[in-house]
Amino acid sequence: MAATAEMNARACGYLDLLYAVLFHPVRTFKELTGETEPDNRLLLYALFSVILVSAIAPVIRFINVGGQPVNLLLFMPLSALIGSLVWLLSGLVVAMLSYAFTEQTRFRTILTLSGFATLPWVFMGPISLLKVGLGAVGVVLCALFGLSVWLWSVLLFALAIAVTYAMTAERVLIVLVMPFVMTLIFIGWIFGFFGNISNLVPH
Amino acid sequence: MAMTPRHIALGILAVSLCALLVGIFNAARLTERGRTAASGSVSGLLSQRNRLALIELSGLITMDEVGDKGLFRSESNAVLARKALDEAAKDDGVKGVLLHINSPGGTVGMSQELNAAVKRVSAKKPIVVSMGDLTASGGYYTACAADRIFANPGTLTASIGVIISSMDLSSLLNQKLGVQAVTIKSGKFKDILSPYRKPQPDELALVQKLVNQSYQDFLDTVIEGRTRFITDPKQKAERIAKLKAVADGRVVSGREALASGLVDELGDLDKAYTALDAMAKKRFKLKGKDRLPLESSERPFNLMEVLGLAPSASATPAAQLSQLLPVSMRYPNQPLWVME
Repeated sequence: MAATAEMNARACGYLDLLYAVLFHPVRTFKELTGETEPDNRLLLYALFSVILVSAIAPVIRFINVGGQPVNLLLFMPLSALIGSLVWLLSGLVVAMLSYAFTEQTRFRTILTLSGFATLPWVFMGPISLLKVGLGAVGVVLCALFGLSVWLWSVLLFALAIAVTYAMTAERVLIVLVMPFVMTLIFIGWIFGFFGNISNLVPH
Repeated sequence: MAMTPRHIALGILAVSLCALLVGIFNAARLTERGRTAASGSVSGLLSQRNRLALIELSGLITMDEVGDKGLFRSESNAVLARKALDEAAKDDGVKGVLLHINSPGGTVGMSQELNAAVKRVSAKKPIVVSMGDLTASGGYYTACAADRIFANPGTLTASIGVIISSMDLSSLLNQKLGVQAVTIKSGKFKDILSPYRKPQPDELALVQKLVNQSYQDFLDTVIEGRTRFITDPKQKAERIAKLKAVADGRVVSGREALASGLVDELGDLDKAYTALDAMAKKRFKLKGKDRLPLESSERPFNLMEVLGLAPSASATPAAQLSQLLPVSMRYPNQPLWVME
């Protein structure tokens, strides 16, 4: 347990980092955020975390909903690819939004930390088995634990932003909420566009 | 050996991996077994997967798409119901189908497709029909292939018959408006039932023959569907006589339909659900006091519907006007199994 106290997180191996991010996130994220941006090894660790949890998603779905096991061979890599793209995109959006506040992008750092922020999802495997063993009670427990994992991951993501850009909680909240607001505005535009087009087409 | 963070992290990954492998194995096993027999600690999960499907068939039975001049078209309720029936037939988790019909009938081809789809379900699992306000003509043609039929006492049903409508506008066009139609055709009957001239006796005889053939198909299917579980020849003959007695296009109430052998029992949707549950449990040897869950079939995702921009059948003035016409005039010159 004393690993992160004794050695800098930047020098840790993947397993040490996994433990440190899950159980000592504040200290670990601060150690990962230095004067220089994380090296390629840490970035690859983060990417591996994203691929790991993204590839788990179709397995969880298969366990809960069923289907053809052979489809997992297609869906797992596909999910890993989509997860990686979402990771890159969300890192880019956060970096751009944070630039407005801090005038620094620190893209590699936010990518590394946000990649590690997805790690709580590794607990979804054991959680999904609750449904199998405990019937209706398991379904409720599964939902509660699933929600907890989601909250844990969101908090780690918020922490990653706060530590990377040395931001206050209010500014972190703005960075987190802003993409949703922008999405709503975009949907509003789409509504308006298709609504007008629909009115132009003779019925 | 002391437990290090590395060991704990390795343990977390190992437990997660093992849990996923167990989950995959279990889910794959359930899929392979058709998610049937339940036992032990997995019964909770299995009982969720064994279910009954509720499929709605409402409105005119037709293949026409809704809103065919809009940006995006959507399929008719009848086509969606046929797809849902076929999906339910294939899905091993679905142990029975409850088909809720509220329809005045429609076109011959689509009614026959629905009847065939009901038969495909019936070959694999029990299917029960529950009639709503109206299950007439093509709607009844669809229903009669089911294993069991429930009707409310006030349901309107039967209307076993065929109709073709056309208009003779020749007097209006020639005498009132002075319009002369010019038709060039390759055969004598190519413009049969043309609105621009009076129909000839031989044309009417031809159409009547077509109607009679279609009616005979209808009647044969009803008799086959409603007598297939009767083994006693005498009872079978009685049932056929009763069916023929009401197969003259008349509309009957649910109560009369029961007396005529058109339906099996009076009851609402919930009663039909209970009956289907019992049939499914008997057929698949399932146990449990609670009824199997009844799940509605999902409509396919339609972005325009989500955005509230999907064109409806009565969105335009012309479509609203056509709603005022008798159904047979909306589909002129073709045989219909529909209640006017």
